[in-house]
Amino acid sequence: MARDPIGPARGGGVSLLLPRDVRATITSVARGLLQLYESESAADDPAVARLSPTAYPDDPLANIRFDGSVGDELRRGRLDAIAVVERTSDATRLTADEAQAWLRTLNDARLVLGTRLNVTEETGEGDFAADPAAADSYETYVVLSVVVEMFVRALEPTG
Amino acid sequence: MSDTAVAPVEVERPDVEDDLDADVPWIVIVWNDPINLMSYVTYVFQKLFGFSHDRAQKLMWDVHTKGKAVVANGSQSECEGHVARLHAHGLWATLQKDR
Repeated sequence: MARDPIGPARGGGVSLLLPRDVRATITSVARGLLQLYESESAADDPAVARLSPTAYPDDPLANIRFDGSVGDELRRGRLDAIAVVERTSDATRLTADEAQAWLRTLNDARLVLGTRLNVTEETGEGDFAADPAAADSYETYVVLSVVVEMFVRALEPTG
Repeated sequence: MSDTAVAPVEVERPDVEDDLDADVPWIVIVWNDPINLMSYVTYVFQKLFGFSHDRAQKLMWDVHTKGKAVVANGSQSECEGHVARLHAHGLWATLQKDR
């Protein structure tokens, strides 16, 4: 059987044998996320809000305090993860920490795309037949889903 | 109890400022969402809480089929830490008092 494009590497970390076009998609998505986080409208964007859910749904004041104490750290973590993806975009092997950064960035991108596309558990390709731009986004979403699944398999503890 | 006089000792007062209702435990809830993959949610539960694959998968399945599951409990500040880490991993998590 062919080797998985993403799998545990001997000696630790993850081997990464992704096709060039998938790498290009991932790099583009990572840059898009970075632009999104740094845009002036990020604060009002529901897709960005999806990345920081309301911790205290019934207590707005507690939620403001929570966001004040962890918001910057969450944002910094996301920016650091994107920087790792950009730095290692051509790598054929990632350390465990680098692989975590890839997984985080790819999953964040799925959340942003999925929120923009109003994805539900029943959503399929046919839902975007009349909207080529949305169909392209959904195709990217599906590619990211496959890659996230592969990273999870490569990283999950055995046993 | 001994009635021997003893010198007063300094007692470390518990820090109640961050958790005024310290007797009431808090819980962390993860809510179902249509985007996160089931395998990913299972993985995050294993990674953050050290659960076995079976336990993590059972909790993921509760989230998926019942709409939510309690994944952790403890003091308010412990639960805030869990929620922050779950948010960092893209999961929809909230915390509340366990009443």
